[in-house]
Amino acid sequence: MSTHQAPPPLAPDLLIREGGHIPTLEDTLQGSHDLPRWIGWRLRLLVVAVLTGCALLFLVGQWLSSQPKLPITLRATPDGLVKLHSVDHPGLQQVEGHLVSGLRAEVVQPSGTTTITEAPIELLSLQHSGRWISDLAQRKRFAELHHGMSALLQTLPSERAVVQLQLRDAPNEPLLLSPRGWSGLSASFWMLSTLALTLFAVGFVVVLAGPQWRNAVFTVLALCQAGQLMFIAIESNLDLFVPDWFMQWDTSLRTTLDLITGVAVIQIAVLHPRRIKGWPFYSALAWIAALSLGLSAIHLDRADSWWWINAGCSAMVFAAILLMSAAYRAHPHPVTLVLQRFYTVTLGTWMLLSIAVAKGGARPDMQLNITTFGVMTWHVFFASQLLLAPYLSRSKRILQEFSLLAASSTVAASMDLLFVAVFSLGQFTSMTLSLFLSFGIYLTVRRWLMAQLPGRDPITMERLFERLYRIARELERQPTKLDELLTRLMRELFDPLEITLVNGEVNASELRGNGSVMLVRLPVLRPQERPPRHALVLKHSNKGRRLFTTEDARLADRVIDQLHRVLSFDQAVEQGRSEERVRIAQDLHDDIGARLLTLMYQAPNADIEEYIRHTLQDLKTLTRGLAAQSHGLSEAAGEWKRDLNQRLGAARCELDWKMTTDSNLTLSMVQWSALTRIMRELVNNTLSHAKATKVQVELVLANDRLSLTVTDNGLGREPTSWAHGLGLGGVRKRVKQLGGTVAWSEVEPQGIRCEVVVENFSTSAGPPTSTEAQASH
Amino acid sequence: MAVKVLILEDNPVARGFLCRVVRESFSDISSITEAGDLAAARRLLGHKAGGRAQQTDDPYQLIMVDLELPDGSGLELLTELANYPATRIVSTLYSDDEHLFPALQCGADGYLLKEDRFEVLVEELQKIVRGQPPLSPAIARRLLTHFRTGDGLMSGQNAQPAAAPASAPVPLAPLDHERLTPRETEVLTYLSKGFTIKEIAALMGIKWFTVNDHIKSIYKKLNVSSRAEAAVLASKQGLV
Repeated sequence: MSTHQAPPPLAPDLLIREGGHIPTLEDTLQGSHDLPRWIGWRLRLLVVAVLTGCALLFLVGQWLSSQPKLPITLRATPDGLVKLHSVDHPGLQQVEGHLVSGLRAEVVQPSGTTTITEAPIELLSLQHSGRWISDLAQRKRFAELHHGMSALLQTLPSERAVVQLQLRDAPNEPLLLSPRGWSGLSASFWMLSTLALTLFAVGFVVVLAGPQWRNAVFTVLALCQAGQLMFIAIESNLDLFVPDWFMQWDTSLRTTLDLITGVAVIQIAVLHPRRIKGWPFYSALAWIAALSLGLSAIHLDRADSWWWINAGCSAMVFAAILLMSAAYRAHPHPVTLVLQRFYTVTLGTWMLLSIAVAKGGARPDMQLNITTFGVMTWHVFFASQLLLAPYLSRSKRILQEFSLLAASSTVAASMDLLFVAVFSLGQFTSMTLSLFLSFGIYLTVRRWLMAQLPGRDPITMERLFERLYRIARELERQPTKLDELLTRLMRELFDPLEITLVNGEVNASELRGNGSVMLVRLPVLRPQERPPRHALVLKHSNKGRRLFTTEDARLADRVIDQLHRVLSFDQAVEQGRSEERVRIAQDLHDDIGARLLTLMYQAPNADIEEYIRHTLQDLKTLTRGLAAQSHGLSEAAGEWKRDLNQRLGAARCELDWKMTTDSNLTLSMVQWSALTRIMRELVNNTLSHAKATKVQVELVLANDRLSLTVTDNGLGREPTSWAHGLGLGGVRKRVKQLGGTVAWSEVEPQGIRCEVVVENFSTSAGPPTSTEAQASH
Repeated sequence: MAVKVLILEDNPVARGFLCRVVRESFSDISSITEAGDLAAARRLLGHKAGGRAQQTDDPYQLIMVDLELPDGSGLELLTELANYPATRIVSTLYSDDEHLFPALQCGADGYLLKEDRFEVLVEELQKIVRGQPPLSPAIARRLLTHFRTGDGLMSGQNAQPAAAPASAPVPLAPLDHERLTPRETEVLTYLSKGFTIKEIAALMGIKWFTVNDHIKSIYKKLNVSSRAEAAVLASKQGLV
């Protein structure tokens, strides 16, 4: 492996306060760490809301099941007529496929006269709602047709009513009208109403979990869409017989819901995730716009009012998108970006749908399909988005895909109609083309939209391992840097906009704020010391362009676990190693030391005594070096000075000690014992050979260059001719171990100077210590 | 006045050597008693293990204790000698603060390093008896942290709370004798940097014997504060 790479400089927004105040978790999350106090009360309210929703649904179903139903299914033909598509019982099979012109009711009054009521059936009769009929005249005709139908229904008895089906090229066929019944409710009713109910519940969950304005707006949005879905569900089961009152309310209510949706979208854009400047102005503007659009649509029943409504809704969503881009530029936040993209897709499909419906007049049958199924698909798409929105970071892939598929279906259906109507393409060609196109759009948009959610590439697994390994090594040397190193690793992993070290306990990494914030727990290296628990708060992944997901949290946890395992293993190894060193040192000192002492006391002459004393001193230096972990340079220098003073003082020799250092670095064992022995040998040499009266020792450490000069005023001369005995040889060996140079020279008028120079002293550990040796493999 | 000396040392050769050092140091030696282990020393002093040596009619004036003994540590005897009116000197091969600091806490009046040369030992011994105890940079550093943070409390591996004097409980608040004066702190700081007493005197602009007085005072404070802490600890543990 290469040598240690310089760590990247810490980013300025890394909020680690040295030694001082570390914010608590609660401060950083602005108090949202605790659960709301009124959760029990809110839960009850939620249950009440959901139960009310269920009850309403039941009532609607009950009412629908009592509505009359024809035992036939009608379809539109490409040339704008209505034909009998299928029949419910075999007796009617002979009329299947015939064109239908109307219904006729013959009722015998109690007075004996027979009242005949006829109601025509046209293509517009098959439309479910006036909301998606763009042309004013057609809308009026649609109302007339349904009015006629309900008038016909009025004349019929409530039990066993029989109507005549008027066929264009065949005699009339009597049909028995019967109530729809629960079993007659279509599958789409159940699906749509379930979706509506879910949306209704989610809307309440959001606002009850956090009673804030923006959440209330979300609830409004959800309720609007739930209402729309309910309308569609009901309409699809009413067939031809729509009550008058329902007809009147349906169109205006659905228009109102659409307009409110537009306003709510703007509200969310200005309130979430943070309030943008002048938000009351924007929301007031949106309300005024929606109100005037709605009023004008009701009171000025102009031909183009449908256009105004749909364009107005589009304009509001477009304004919301613009506001969001402004907000994102001011404060990048992944939620803004995701919402903006969802809005864009929604707006695009909405506009496509509107254009398709408006321009599709050439193929009334397809237009009918669009207004029925296209609009329904679009609402389902929007509803699925709303369901997705509060759980962006947690939602399963399948829900996201479902939402996108719904969007693509809207696109496909709208395009199909557009191709046929505007470009006069054949049915098959247009269907193939639109399928291909919408599939392509689906793939593109999916990438674009989902890029914000789960994908990850900032750091490969290989590099992650390398980082972990390096951090472990670095922590071995500086255990206090744990927080800083992990902060750096998390920054590399997730590239968040902001990362804060906080006080507080987090048991496992978790997500907050719908994935915009992730809390990462930090490991505790020495649990027995009970250090303050820290956690990291990461805000806005990928510089605010992405949301955190549950996978991110799991990854963070796995990384921390791995690191913890590596570190505890290293600690155990290091502890064992150090215990072993201390044991060896103690044995050496106690056994060999005591024997050497005895030997010294019994030495036959002074020379041998002195020799043994030096050996004993070397042994003590060796054992101390083994046992101690590190020595500060200035502390070691104090001991060297004292030692030399004592020895020189005993020989009536003066010590002139000078030391200048520009940093108090920590000596490794190798450095400490080498310098101790060099100094002792040099002074020994002076004492035993030079008969000096003054020894000058100068120790200088500047710019990582260590120089040690020992000068005496003794009798020594011609250092080049000295025999290098044990003493001087030892000095050379030690200097070489440090990677330095040593030179002896004569000084005038008398004496010898020895100069030891070690360049790059801080890295001169000599042969690598065991840990470094490990690291270099 | 005749001086009675007790030397506790297990190595007979070293014992002989220390006898020579003592004889060389003082001219008025009346007797030198030698002991090879703690049990023998206790017999001579007339107390039991864990007990307290009481002053007798004819006490020893100088007691030299080796730290490593076959039946225990010299620290045990030092604590047992807390009330004994003798100059207590530790003789050891260990020159590091890990071993010497607890000895000073246990009330040693000074220490001798057995590896030193005969002349050096004689000089050091005379100095201790005269009241000029040695203080190595490592121990000075240790003392500084001890008085600053209270570290080192009962850190001697053999310092036993039970051995604390049965005195009245000492209040918990730090007393004056547990703190160093600024002058004493200054002296300790210089000592920890390896300055000699003469150099310190010159640096501080005082006489060398004043520096020496400071060192003696520090010794005393260490012992007193250690004993006070021990007493507090003991009373807390319900031992006295």
